[in-house]
Amino acid sequence: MKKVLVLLACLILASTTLFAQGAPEEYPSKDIEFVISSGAGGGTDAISRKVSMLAEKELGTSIYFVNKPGADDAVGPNSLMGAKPNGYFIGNLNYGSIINAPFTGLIKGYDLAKLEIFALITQEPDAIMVGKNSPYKTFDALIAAAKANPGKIRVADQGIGSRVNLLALKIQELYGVQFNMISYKSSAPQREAILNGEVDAAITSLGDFAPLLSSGDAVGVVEFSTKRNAGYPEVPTSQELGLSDTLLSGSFLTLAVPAGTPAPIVEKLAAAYGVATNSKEFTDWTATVGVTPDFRSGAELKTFIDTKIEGETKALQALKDAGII
Amino acid sequence: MDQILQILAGTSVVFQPLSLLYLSVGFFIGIIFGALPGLTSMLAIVLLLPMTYTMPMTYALIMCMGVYMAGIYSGSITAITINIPGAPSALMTCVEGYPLMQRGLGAKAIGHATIGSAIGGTIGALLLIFVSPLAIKLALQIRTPGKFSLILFALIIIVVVEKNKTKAIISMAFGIMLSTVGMDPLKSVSRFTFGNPNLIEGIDLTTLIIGAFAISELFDQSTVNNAEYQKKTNAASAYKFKRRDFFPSLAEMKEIGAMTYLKSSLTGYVIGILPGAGASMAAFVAYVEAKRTSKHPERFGDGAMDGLVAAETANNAMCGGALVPMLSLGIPGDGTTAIILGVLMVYGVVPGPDLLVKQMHVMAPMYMALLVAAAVLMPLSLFLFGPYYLKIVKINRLVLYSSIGLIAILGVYAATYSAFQMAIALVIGVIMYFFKKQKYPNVPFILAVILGPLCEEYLRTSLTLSNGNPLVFITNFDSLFFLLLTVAFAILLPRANRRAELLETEANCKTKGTV
Repeated sequence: MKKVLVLLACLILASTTLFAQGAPEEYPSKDIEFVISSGAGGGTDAISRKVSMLAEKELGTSIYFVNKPGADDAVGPNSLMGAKPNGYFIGNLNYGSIINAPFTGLIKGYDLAKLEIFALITQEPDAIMVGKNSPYKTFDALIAAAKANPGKIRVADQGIGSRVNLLALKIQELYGVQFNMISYKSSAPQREAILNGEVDAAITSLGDFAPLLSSGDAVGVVEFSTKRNAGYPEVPTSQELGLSDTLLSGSFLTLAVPAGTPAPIVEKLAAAYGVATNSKEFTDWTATVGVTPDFRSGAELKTFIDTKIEGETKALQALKDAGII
Repeated sequence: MDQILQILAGTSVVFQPLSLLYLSVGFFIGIIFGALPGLTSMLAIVLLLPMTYTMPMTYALIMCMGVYMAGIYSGSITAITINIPGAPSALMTCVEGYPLMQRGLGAKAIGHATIGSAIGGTIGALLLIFVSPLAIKLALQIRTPGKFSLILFALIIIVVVEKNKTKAIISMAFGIMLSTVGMDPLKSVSRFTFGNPNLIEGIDLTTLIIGAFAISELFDQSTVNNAEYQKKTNAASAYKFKRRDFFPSLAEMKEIGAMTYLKSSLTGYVIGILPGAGASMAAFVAYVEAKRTSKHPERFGDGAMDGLVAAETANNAMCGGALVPMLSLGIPGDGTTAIILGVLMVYGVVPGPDLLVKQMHVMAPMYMALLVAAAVLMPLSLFLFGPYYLKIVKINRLVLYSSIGLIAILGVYAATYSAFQMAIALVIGVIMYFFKKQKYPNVPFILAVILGPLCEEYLRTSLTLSNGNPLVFITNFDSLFFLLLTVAFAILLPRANRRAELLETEANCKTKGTV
């Protein structure tokens, strides 16, 4: 007990000397804090840590992580909004933080204008998966079954108003069908539901279903993207099947700093993460977890974010007006 | 045969000096984090994450196993010695262990808890190695309605085992009420926040546990005057303990019964396999079963060694079980395995049924590490540190309790990054202090907080599956099984209680007769 106390005291003393250091001369001169918008152990967490480990080498400093999960993936970004814009605080934003959080407005004062998004790291298109014994192994078969049995085909989503729920609702509207949508908290119980036959189909990314796709217990029906997934080349894309572009959907991971961070620092960070994202080590790794590295920055990134916000918010608003969510 | 060869290869990896070092370091860290209220083994692994990414995967996993096993076990140390469970899994240990400590049987209680944990951990690890592919098939038979009924079983039985049912229900209702604050689990809506943005995240489990145990115990201690405290600790440490006093004799273990150890291990393993419930649920269910079959149910709640052993055996057997769905389906069985899953992901290892069978060589060192941590390190740590555990009570209590208060409140901050949650922990501490004074049990409160959100989630999912038809809980075989089990326990446990009362009155008559 005593030893622990002495150790704690030493640690506290050591940390005060850390803070007492003089003004930094060249960025980065100390460790960078990375705020992760989800809990330790998830996909967002793993991607953030992996890419940062590689970026560390480029930046020549250490990056340490703080997990702040919660409400629409907005708690982490919200704390980043209040951080000093000196380049020593960065964080990630994903679909929830950029689309859902501003829309639902659960956190007061949450405003994306307080952040500068400087890099897109990965994209993760959504897909429909069914169990290996399912009779609906093609998109057409699934839709035909839903037409024949309205409200009988059970589809696992991730909660009302979630990204995948939105996608399912779009499909319903476009094809005039009715699913029985079952809410699960995350992709883990979705996988379980496919395995024990509780649902007929599940919507989330192919990467989330990696364990079942590789073992053959689940089959990918369609991925809502324009290019086949390198990890799962056998799954057709929605574009190949001739489905509407409004169905293109998926999560993504972007990085941000508090607005007002000096431009040279932002550029340095973007460059470092660019090298990290395009490195062979990272692309090899993403293939195993089923996400697609897609580095974008500058004007290209801005168009990407703006189109996403506009399209998805419109869809959300339409559902809200219709009283569905 | 192939499997056994791979396990042997895994064993040789674990017994390399460097692996043993990592395992021991992990184990030691786990002991400290597990024993300190507010700091959990989950937090320890999160803090070790950056370190694990730069070392070879085998070492990282071996270290994680050390932390995991030790962290679940060591919650019992503070539970027995100072009535504050270091981890939620030690909830029932607290109920039975602290009365033993007060009677001067602290060494025995810690000894039994450790050996029970070691046996449970070992059996859990062995089951993990040999029967996992089968077990996972069984686990998949239990669908969402079945899971709901299992949680319902626990929530109903909590009330049945308590002496004062009304107070138990009130305590449980309070817990369920607090667990509904914050974000809706299945919809982007906030509930019961009264417009306060701090409440959107809800009230964290750590906050409530620290409030209900550490802080309320602190208040409780402050009402005990020094002379009284001296008397109590003197009683608790009246005997001079030798190291071997910590190791329970074979006769005592026989009295507890091989069945208790075996049953509790199996219960723990099976509950571990079902994602969601975790160590506290495992400990509770094993405890209840031990009470049902005990020869002395009257001792339960006031220092029953078999109750303590059942709970400790089960929560460590859970470790082996919780790894099964994580490795085979990528579905973590509890919070700690969720983070270990993250470790695997960073190394690019995709969990799947193949990992359990065909890629045994990847996982064999990890399995063996779990086994060695339970079977070797646990008894060893008891031998080395046992006497020091008991000396905790000899520390000046102003220093002891104020530092525990400080660490516990810091633990709340470490888990939530929120000063608001720290304040809530204090408020809950005050409320639970008055609850305790009025003899409201706090076990129903904490279990309700842990299980309440799961209960709600499963109920809602089940009802959407059946289009709102509640009959789904009866037509699903797995669900029906747990419902019938609930009815059976609800009938059998009060009988055990009555038998206990009868025995008690008989004993009273006898003593009166002899006087």
